[in-house]
Amino acid sequence: MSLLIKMAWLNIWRNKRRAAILLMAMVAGLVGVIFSLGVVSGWISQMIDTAVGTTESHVKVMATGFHENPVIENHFVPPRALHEHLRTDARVRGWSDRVQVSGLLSTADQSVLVTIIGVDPVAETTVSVIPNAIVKGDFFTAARTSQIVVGDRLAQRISKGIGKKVVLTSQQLGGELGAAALRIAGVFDTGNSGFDEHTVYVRKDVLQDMLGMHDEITETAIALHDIDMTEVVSNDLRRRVQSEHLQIYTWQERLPFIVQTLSLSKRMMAPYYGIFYLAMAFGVLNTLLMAIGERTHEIGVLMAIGMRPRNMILVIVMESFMLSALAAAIGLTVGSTLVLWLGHTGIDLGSLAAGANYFGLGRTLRPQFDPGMTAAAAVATIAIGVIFSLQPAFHAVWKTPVEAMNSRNA
Amino acid sequence: MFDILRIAWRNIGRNRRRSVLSAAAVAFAVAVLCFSMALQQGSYAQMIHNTVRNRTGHLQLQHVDYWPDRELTKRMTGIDTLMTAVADTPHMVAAAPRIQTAALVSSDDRTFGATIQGVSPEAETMVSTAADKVITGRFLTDTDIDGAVLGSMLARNLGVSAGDEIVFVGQAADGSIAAGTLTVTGTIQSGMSEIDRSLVIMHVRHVQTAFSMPDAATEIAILLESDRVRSAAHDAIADCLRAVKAEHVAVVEWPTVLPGVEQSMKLDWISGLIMYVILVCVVGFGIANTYLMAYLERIHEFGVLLSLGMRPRLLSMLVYLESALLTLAGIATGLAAGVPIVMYLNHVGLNFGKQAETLMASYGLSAVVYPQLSPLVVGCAVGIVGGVTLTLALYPAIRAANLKPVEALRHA
Repeated sequence: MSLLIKMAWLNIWRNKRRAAILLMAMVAGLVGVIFSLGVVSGWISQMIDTAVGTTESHVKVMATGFHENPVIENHFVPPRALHEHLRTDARVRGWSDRVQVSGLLSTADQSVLVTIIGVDPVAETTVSVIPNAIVKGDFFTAARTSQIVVGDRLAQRISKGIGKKVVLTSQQLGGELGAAALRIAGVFDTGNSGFDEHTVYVRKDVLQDMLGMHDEITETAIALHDIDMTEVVSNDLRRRVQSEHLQIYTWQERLPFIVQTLSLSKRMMAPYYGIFYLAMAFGVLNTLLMAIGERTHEIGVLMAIGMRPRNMILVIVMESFMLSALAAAIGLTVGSTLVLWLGHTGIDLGSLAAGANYFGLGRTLRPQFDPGMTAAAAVATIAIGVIFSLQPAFHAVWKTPVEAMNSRNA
Repeated sequence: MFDILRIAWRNIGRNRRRSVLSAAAVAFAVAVLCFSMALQQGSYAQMIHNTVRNRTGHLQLQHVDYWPDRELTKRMTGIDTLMTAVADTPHMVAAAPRIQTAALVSSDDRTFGATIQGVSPEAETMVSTAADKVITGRFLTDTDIDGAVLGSMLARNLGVSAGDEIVFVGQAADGSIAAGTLTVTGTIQSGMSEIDRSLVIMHVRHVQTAFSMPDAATEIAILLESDRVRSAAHDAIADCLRAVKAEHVAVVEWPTVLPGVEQSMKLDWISGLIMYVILVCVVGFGIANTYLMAYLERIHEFGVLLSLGMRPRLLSMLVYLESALLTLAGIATGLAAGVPIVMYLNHVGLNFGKQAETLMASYGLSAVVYPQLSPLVVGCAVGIVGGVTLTLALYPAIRAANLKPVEALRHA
């Protein structure tokens, strides 16, 4: 057996250039697959991070009906049991009670339709990235209460900076119109232009006053330490807070869009990776047929002096196995390094940022290393090497020793 | 020269299996690239079509300072003059004036923020598909000065349906309060929840009066025969505007109005190209072995040719021609196989299934995509495959050019 392995190994390097070229083909293929796996998984996770990190959070508690129809009539007063449970659950990183309504933001020159989110600034910091995405001013200061924090796109559109006054108008709980004059305390930039143009933050108590509410809120956003615990934590919550007026949603339920993208991208990418492997398979087949064609005579001699066809096949398959294993190792190293490095530095989408927003991305794309899929890609490379060596291997022992020895060339 | 070609062709036939396999790989790569690029182009065409028909029109006339503030103070006036001026521009199908603004709308006991779109009903029907999306009641007509069409969710939230009255309050162009009463004539459903939750379509005349902006509009949307004539039409319309001395009006193209759509297509195209080049490299290295072997196994024979007086340059050309012919045969086969398939799919469409429908709708696509073959697609496919493989074929050709007859003859 060890002799056969040695034969196979030496056979590979009989034509170094040819082996190197095949190696390059397989390495290029594997690196391409690992890279695109990294890009897709980075894209999806960024999409989740952006949505979950800005307003969605991992788990949300809402009044029944608010999910389908986000209007202020669908409000609730957070039950004590909910807060107590959240305080004692170690998996919970933080939570934020919010009031969310749509309304008009007006300046002397124009009115813009916006989503108004009323938050407690400290609590919001534990669940959302917005307090850390402030580019000008602060995410509310202690000094004044009538403050508003707007996105940079909106600030540009209304040509207003820190300290300038705007008016918010929305319908009160009773049906009357509520309005409040607020000064801009801070400007945030999430990289998502649509969000930055149409979302504003005010203090929860200010918004509650404006809307004629007392302790009522429209949602409790809950952030977890570990996104994978979403299902478990939300099920615990459902058991703890049993009320027909309240619904508990996981981010997957709130963002079916992302879940669909995930499943569609998997379905769409499968044939695409298949093409890469097919291209590799072709390289293996082409090169091995060539290598064996040259050795027809020699194979005939080996068989004439008593080498079993089974062992001959084994040598050829082994040859391909070792070469593709080597390709898998190199490809894995190069591909993973590339993905990890680009994940670290990020790919700057610069001038195409508005387009990237369409795919739920910000200005930079960070590919993400997916160990499971990457390992699978490497294993598939080796499998291709083995499977596509079978035909040439059987072909090699097809001829009788005499026929083989008589042939000078393939 | 002809002889060299013939020799090269014959040499390809010397190892048929290898040649066929290599040409097949090239053909495969060309066909795959044609198909997937055509699919991309087809989906872009659909995105453009939907963007243009549902939202922007191909071109828009706007006040020169309208972007990015989009204030009512930066509006166009003399709408009838402008409409007449551009009416006969080549490639133009229809034009419709619009006013975009925001206001609060109320029913008896509820109030919501809304996006107001003032339209000229008959003209709007020619330019956009808004009227096709009416699910209850009917779209506005030119005589419905006080009518309104509401997004379906907005209508539900307000608790109103066709025949009911609503009130709107907003900020007029001069800063005063704009208000008025409207009668709902119908509701529309676009499928995009933020639109269905906030859109109010009303008669442009009503908006002009209520918002103190007589004879004005914030945009005139122009529909063209196709997106291809966009820049030609742009120039023609700019000339028309100059002729009527409308200096305050600019012509902008839809990518300026909605940059995200065009940039997302560019991003998709560029990332696609990167992956195609990697794929073609994999195929290319697979073929490079064929090229190299075809050279290495005949070194002795080349030595003989050189000793007989064949010029190294000619020999190198022969080696390169063999690779090139093989590649070209592959490309031709690939096109012959790929083009009819893509044409057929262009005819019947490629269905991604019910499951993908809502997701694709959010990218402005329907579940059936029609791949589109164009010179660009064929050019890119042939260019990438040909470029990579013909570059790889240079290596044996260069080696052949530097072959020493004596050493070559000694080569086993």
